Amino acid sequence: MQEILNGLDLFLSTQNVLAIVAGMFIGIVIGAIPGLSSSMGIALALPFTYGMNPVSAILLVVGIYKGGMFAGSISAILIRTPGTPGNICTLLDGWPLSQKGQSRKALDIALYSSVVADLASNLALILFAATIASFALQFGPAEYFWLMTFSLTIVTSVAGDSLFKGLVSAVLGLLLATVGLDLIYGNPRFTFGMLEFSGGVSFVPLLIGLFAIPEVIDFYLRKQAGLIHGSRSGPALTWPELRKCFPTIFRSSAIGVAIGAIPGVGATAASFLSYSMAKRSSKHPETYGKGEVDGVAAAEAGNNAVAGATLIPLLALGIPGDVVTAVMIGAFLIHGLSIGPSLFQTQGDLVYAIFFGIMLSSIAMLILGMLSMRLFARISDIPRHILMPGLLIFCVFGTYAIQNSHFDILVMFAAGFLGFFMMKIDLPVPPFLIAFVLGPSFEDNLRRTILVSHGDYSVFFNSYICWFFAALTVLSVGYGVLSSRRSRSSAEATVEGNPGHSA
Amino acid sequence: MVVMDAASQKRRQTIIAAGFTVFFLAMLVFGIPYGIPSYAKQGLSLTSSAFYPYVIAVAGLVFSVLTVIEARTGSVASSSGDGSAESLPIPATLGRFSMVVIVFAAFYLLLIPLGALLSSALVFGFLVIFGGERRPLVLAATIIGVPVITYILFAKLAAVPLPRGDLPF
Repeated sequence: MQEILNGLDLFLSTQNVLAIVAGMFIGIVIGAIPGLSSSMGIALALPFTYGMNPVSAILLVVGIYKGGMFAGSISAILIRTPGTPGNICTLLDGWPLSQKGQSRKALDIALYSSVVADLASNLALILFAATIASFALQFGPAEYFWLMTFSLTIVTSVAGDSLFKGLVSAVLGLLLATVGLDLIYGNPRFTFGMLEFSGGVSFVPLLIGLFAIPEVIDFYLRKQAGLIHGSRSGPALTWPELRKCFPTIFRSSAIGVAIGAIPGVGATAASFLSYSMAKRSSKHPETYGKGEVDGVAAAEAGNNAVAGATLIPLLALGIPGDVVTAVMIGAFLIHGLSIGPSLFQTQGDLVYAIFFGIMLSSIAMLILGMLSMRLFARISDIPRHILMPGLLIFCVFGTYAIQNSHFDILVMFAAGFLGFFMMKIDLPVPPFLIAFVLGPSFEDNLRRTILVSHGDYSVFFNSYICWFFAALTVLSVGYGVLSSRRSRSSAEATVEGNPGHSA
Repeated sequence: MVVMDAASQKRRQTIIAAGFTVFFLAMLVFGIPYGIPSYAKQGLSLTSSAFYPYVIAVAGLVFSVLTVIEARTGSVASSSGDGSAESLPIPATLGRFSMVVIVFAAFYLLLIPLGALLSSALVFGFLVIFGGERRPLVLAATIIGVPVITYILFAKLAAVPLPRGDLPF
């Protein structure tokens, strides 16, 4: 108790409050710009933390992290370009809402669900840090393999009208993820002598290319690539609409917290898993992917709940949960703080001061989010013949910014044409991307388990965690197949009733 | 409005699915042996570098065959692939598509020699005019304003070293 009071005393200073607000603001600006990542923002901010006290320094970087995580939804909703990989799922319904002229509603639900999830995540961090972290430590390669397998079954939920086409798309994503040096032996695969592919196909150029560039291409191939004027931001979210999303927000927050506490899984998987669960539990799953407010809520709650929870293994065990928290370690090191269990023992008051600041971050997110959205929502009002070339410039600069690579721009354009081609042949992009994201981890854990087991495959079922995720995988696949058959039957009934439909 | 009947849809979906089948077959026969040099040494043992891509390609082949069967036997719910009410005739579409390819290629090739600012202003200007904007004031403001603001955001505020070309900015 004394440590909590000391922590409160340590936290209550103008500098600390300003640090979290400034961090959140920087994070929102960076997150809303495709290509600029939270990790880049934190890396740039680290030198400025030298002159700060340790609490302010850490709160600044935490603010950037959380602000970036939320703001990635802004560009996903408004220009179909997720600011961070964790926001991929947000565009599945956010972009259709924008196209219907309801971007304001999409942005509102993204903000509110992000704030609630962030709050839940912070509470989980404070209450269950040690317990969850010790559970996550029990995960070995076999447990990770099953977790990844279960996560891959999400493709059945986002496969669209044809389950098999979704699976073909996912297989293509898995295949593309094998490009580069083999994770175990370091043998090149599908690099064809090109050094640029040694590290695999860069994710962010692929992401930007698949989602943003097809929109640009499609715009110029239309009959009227002309002027579209007038406000498209639309009505705000109403209280009944928000209330309807509460079950989804709470469920997705819980999923995000659980996933975030496991190092290495990350916001993207949490977001897809939350979205998938929301769709499956909905009475109208057919509305998902066509502008469903609940879908945006699920995706945003899922990925934002990861932000606080990722700090659990970081603070409690010294294990960074993702790239951003790995960069955040720099802020601790600069101030001579060793993270891990000893931090709680030797710097308990500092830990609680950080916790107080983190709680404040949710309020800062709400206020700054509301203010920034008014500004960003006006993007929808820009005529598309001006927005599209601007988007192209953003994509090129953003792609180049990641690792100052000219080659990445080529990858982005190639991914753009691939995305356009997929759009034209009705091959769903989300399964492709999910598989591409989860593929390396899936393969790595599969092969590591095989290597460790020396041919004894019982290792895949040697713990209750393995059984738990294996059972979830079977259930998920079964459910996916059944719901696909149901949706196909209803589609066939529609086609039979209307044999000549417009294409 | 372009209307596609169910039979045409079915034929189109079958051709697409058959294309994937051919692709995965080609991966198994040519792609993996030639794309993974260690395949010749390690073969397809459980832990070899080629085993996992091989399994994936086999899975892809199975799914694409199932897609062919699905396309032949079932009804196709929807398609966006054949254009919409806004679709252009095929020659015009190909012309515009070629234009997009040329613009992207030009942007990529000009970025290093001309620098980020000038190359983006050129591409932006061309696309805005192509998009139908003719008002001189709007053209001048956007062709200068958008690339400059974007450049400042990335190069100055975020400290990203964008290509500078031979010009001093």
